[in-house]
Amino acid sequence: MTAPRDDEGQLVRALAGGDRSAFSVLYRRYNAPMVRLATAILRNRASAEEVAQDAWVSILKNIARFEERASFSAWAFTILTNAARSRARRDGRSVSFEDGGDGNALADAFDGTGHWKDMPALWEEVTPERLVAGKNLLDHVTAAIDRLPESQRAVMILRGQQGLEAAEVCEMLGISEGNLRVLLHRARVAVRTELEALLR
Amino acid sequence: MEWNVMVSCKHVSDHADPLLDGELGLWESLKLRLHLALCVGCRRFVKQLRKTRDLIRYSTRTEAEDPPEAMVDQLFARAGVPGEDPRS
Repeated sequence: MTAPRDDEGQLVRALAGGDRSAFSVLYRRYNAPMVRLATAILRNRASAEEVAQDAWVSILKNIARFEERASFSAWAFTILTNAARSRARRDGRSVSFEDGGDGNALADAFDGTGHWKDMPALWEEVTPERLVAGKNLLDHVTAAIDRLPESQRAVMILRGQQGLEAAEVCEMLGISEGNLRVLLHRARVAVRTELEALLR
Repeated sequence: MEWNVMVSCKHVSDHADPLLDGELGLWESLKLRLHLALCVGCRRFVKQLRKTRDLIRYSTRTEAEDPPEAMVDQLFARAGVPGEDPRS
């Protein structure tokens, strides 16, 4: 089970009592990644925003029944994923995360003997605040994640950014642990390769 | 069982992720660590990947957005939840 953030239990109990400020804190924390995940599933930002709103309504309706056996984030992202899948089905699209491991950003990085063609750069001064091409590095990271293939993006948001447990992510997306590892590895390497190109 | 301890840089790059996540078995982990002790390029790559992982974790904190009051009203109304307004 994902370790909840320190204040999460308190926020959830406050929200169950109808506390709007607790809602605002949870919304600030989770709405943007929820919309980005729904966009990966639906491939449409406007539909994703609608589905995220529907998920928040469902969270509000059911928060009193939320048992803290799972983290709030795992529960909320499960609601969101189910809502996005239902919407995709209504739109006549099937959603599968089993493939999408293609796209190896290191395909041309090695010579015939498996050694680096070019030595990876030394990232001495790589900090979140560092400005590159007019944006800080974290904005470049988010943009790189949003360019990933849908399956890799979904895994990266849930596991890489939100830190949900592997088993929780597998259940949510209907994929095996082996596939999760492949998708996560490809996604991390792709983001690293984009940063490497930016920082050279 | 194969006892070849020499692995290529490509092999290290393929297994760097589970190495960072502590998911490799002892033998595979030893082979990678031996290679890393000898190879500057792979040491740099693993450091890059660790930094990338940390930046990815941190990146979600930059995108917080406040919900507009009218939207909160609408969501609470749709859910049929009265909601305690801190302004009142």
